[in-house]
Amino acid sequence: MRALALAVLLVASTASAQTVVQIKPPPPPEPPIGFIFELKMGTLIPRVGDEPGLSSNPYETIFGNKSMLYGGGEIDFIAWHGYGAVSVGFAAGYAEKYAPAILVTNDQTNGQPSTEKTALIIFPLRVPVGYRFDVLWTRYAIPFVPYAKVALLITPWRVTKGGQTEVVNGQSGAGLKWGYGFTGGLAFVLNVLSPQMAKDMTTDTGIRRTYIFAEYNYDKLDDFGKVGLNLSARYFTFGLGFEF
Amino acid sequence: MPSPLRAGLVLLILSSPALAQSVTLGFSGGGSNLTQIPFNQASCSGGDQYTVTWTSQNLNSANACGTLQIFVTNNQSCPSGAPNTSGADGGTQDIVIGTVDINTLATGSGTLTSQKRRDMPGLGGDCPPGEDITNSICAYLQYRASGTTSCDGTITSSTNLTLRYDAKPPVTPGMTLLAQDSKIVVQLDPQGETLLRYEIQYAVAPADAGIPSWRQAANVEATKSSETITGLTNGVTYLVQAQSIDEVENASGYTTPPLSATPQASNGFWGEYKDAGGHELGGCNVADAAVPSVLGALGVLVALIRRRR
Repeated sequence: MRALALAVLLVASTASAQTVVQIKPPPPPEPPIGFIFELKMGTLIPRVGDEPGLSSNPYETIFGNKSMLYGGGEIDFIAWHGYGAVSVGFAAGYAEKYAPAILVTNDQTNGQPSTEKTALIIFPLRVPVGYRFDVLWTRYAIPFVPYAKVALLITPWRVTKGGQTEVVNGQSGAGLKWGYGFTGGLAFVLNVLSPQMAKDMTTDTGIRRTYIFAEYNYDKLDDFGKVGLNLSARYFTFGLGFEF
Repeated sequence: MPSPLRAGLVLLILSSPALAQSVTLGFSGGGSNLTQIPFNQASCSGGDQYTVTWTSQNLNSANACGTLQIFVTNNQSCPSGAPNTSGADGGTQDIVIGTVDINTLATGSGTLTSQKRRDMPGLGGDCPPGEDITNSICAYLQYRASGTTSCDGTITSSTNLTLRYDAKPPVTPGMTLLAQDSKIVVQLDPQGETLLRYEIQYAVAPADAGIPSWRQAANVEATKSSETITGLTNGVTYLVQAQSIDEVENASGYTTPPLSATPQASNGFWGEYKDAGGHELGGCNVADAAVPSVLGALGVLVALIRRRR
């Protein structure tokens, strides 16, 4: 009699354990299109000295080997999402560098710093087309997204002295440079650090992914090879991105 | 609370503000913001005048005692009592510039006859140089407080008007010069003075002990701390002097000795680039090309966003 009761109890326990199986719903499919917004900053030194025929590098003469501080933002439209994502976007930034002007005299003060400041100011604009290999994250949950971009560059620039655009022999120190650039980068998807918070953010704000990134830029800004002021640069930028 | 008591309380609350008696003074034509008339020695000597207006509230034969006295006292604030004509306040007698009888007071407002600015007790009718004296214009009236029969209430003006005789020139401004390319930046310091403006002169430094031929640079409002003299010749030494002008046009006199500076040519990045043989011509109006580029790109993105929705 006691053995029978024990057998019934065991059977009942097994049956009860089988009823608490939890079924996890599959993740929602990636939407075919979307947007990416990025904020980024970095430092760069324009390759002014690469211009053929210069007797010296005026950037080094005025600013030494100090970099320009760059900051900017980019918005990309994800036009296709399949095995990775293809985007087209627009980026705008700002970079400046200030230093004392240099005295030009006939005495011992020649070449000494002036009390006047001079500045090189650039407004880099770019229209990038990019490919993001986000399959690592979407299919394998590896939180890294390598990407590459090619961009058309348009950069208004201006040189000031004493707060005004510097004019030399009637030529004003301002203009516009065209060029192209390549960017390679790696993004780290922050969703992996707190999946629940990431889900809440998606529900509340529509932001599906947040990531930090580092990228290397190869900008060729010399009016497509025309001899003139060369604002080409090779530099790293770092930033924060949101995909929605 | 019993109804009669409640009604009495309501009546008291409603009637209290209406019973407040007051006298307010003002300068004619200056609005309520004008509470001080500063004037200099020239204005004093020239016999310039001022006019005081008054307004009263809830004062009439039922509660006012005697006449309203409006007077100038040799102090920066008004006394709480009657004008002292014995000479105790500020060392000189207060000067009564007008009286208003009860019937006129009941009309609510009025204007006194104009007074000479220099007729303030601190000046004694003179216009001494180098003095900075402030006197106050005050009002005084005795009245009967509500529910009493004695005239032991006192009303003084609720505004504090002052006359300021300022014949004291400000100190000369602190000045430093920055020699730059074809220009000199003049940096000025008020030295703690309340000023109206600075006046700057400059001249080519004469050879030997010659007399400089001064030219007037633009006047600088006191709210600015620097001014740039442009159009100068590099390599030429210039003398610069400045003086402060206070709010009543007293001048400090120019800084002595004047400071000197020699503008020197300098290269900014663009000048250095051109000197190094740069081929860029520049001169492009950045906005002409950049703005359409930006707008075009943004337009494409907006179109894409609208298409997505």
